Amino acid sequence: MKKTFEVDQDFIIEAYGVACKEWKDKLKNKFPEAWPQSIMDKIKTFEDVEKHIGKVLLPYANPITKEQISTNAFVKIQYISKALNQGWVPDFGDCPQQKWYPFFKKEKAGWVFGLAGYDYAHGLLSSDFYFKSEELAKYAGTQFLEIYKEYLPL
Amino acid sequence: MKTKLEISKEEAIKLYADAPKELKSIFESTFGLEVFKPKKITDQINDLNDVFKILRISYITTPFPNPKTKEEKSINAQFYLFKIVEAYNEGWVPDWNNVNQCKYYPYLYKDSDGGWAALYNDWNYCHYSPSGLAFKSSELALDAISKFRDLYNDYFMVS
Repeated sequence: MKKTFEVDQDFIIEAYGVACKEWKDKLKNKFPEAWPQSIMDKIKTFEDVEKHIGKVLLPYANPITKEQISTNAFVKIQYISKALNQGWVPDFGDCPQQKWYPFFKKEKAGWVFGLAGYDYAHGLLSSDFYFKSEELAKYAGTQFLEIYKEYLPL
Repeated sequence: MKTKLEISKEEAIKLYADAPKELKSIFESTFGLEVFKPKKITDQINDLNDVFKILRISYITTPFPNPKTKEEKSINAQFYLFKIVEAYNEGWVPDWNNVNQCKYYPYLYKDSDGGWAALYNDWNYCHYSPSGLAFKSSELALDAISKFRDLYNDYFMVS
């Protein structure tokens, strides 16, 4: 006979902390929803960004020129950084604070993600292009590469 | 019979480019050679009107005609900055496939007084790009940020 128990999420996470590797895997597989999701798990598409931040109104409903496409992409990047940064904003007065951003390089096939760079008290870009961690800058530059490609020059 | 020809400096400058060699010499000896030397782009650009004149555009419509937020102001500012960069670069377009060609960006820093008034330096990249606002030289990048500081502040969202 099977008995069903209700278990608190905190209990599972605590058990995970002291479990051996085999049981860690078992717990993860048995209770996939118990683990807190990172923001990167939640924000995978621009639709996710809109779900998180709200509907984005782009300046050009039907962009035609490169300038218009790039401007729309700029707005999207502003919202992507807002969603991924979760309230963090770069403070250029805070020198030790690293502000990360993705760099892109041009290859034969077009722009590809290059690396994540960071600034301290110096600003190179609009504040909305910075991320609070290297991980998020890399994630934005790869996961949302198509949007960055629209933003970058031809 | 001799006829006296009077011509102003401004008219001479206008005629100089298409004038025959002999007339060019007369203009140069009359007004001085310096007058006819082509002006550097940094001397030609002092405000947005100069930028529009160089690009031969009468006006531009910004993405957000009535910007309400700093984000919208930043986007409008970038829109102008693209025009400014285009005018300064005089037809030069960055070749992002060329790793030996440096591209220059103005760099801002927050000074010890907590303001953004200080200009730090420029920065150059050869292969990697964070944005399309690249100048062909350090001199142009620094001149642009000194003359269009308000727009850069809006773009950086530090105003």
